[in-house]
Amino acid sequence: MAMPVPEWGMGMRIVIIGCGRIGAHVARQLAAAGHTVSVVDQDAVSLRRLGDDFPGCTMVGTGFDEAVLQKAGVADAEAVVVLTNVDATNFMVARAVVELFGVRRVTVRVNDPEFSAVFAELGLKTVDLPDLILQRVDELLASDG
Amino acid sequence: MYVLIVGGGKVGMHVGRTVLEQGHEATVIEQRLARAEVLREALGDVVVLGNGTLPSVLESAGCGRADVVAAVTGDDAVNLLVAVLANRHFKAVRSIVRLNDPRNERLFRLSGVGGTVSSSAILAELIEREVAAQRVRTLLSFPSGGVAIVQVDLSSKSSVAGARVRDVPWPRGTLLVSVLRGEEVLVPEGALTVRAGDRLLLLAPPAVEEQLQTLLAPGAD
Repeated sequence: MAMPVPEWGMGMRIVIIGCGRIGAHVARQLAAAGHTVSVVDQDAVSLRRLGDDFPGCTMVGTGFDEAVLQKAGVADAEAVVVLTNVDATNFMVARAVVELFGVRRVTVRVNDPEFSAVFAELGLKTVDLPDLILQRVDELLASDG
Repeated sequence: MYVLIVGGGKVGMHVGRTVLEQGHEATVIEQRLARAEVLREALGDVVVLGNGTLPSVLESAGCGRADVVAAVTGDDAVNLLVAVLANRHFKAVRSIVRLNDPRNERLFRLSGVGGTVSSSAILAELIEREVAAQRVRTLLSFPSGGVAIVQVDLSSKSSVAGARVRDVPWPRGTLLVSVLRGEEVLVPEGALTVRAGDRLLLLAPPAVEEQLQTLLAPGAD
């Protein structure tokens, strides 16, 4: 299922770094919505989460390796979503995507809420999962049940 | 001086010990509990258990007052984040960063992180210097391995200096291809006299390299 270079098709060109349960879910949904998706993970086994029918390109390698990002099509990507479960890795991947490839739409998953403010301070757009859950809980507590 | 070390592996432990022995203050941040215990036994009560990329952990380890922050884990992503935090978040005076993969150097530089130390780059440089010191240099090896193009600078100590090409006892299987003298490229006819300082290009089997060295460039220059 691995193709060396993504053949960009319909929709937006999106590269996803990190194919855990979250990365795989996001990748599948974006592909189903008609976008052209390419996924990078350092573990070939993780990429199996995408399923045999995944229409996008997959790439085994380190997410901040320039050659890997190049092959994954980051140079032509309109957006990159960084979704590994290690904050330091996500930070370095985001730096690579921004500095080496000049991608402007980059979103980074935050695993430890402490990094939310730090990453924002360093100029990264973040998705803070623990905080999103907290917001939901707050809404729940404020509702009538 | 106060030195904050992130990463208590072999490198971090050695740095910590050296800093302490020199009479400075040091703290080592280590994430693995068992390793932190080893460090505590070796270095004393200077170990903070925790994830050194977390600002709260850096804060409690005194990152704000550190003279030097040394990010020396085996993970370049961790080292980069620590250095960026130390520089921008804590305004630390100096950071020293271990670079595990030299290919990441550019990204570190683009992120404003200088002071990288790469053991593989240092090794590569040492090897390069060693190779340069060798007087017979292989310029091109052919895949079959039977013969290579080598380059030797003719030493004044060589008995061959001042001899005609046809009189030189070339090792078996060796063919003189060209003689470079300054800007000139000389055709190696039998009557040509080679001089000290000439750069000789030869086709030679790898087995005769030592013979060539003894013949053309004996002793240390």
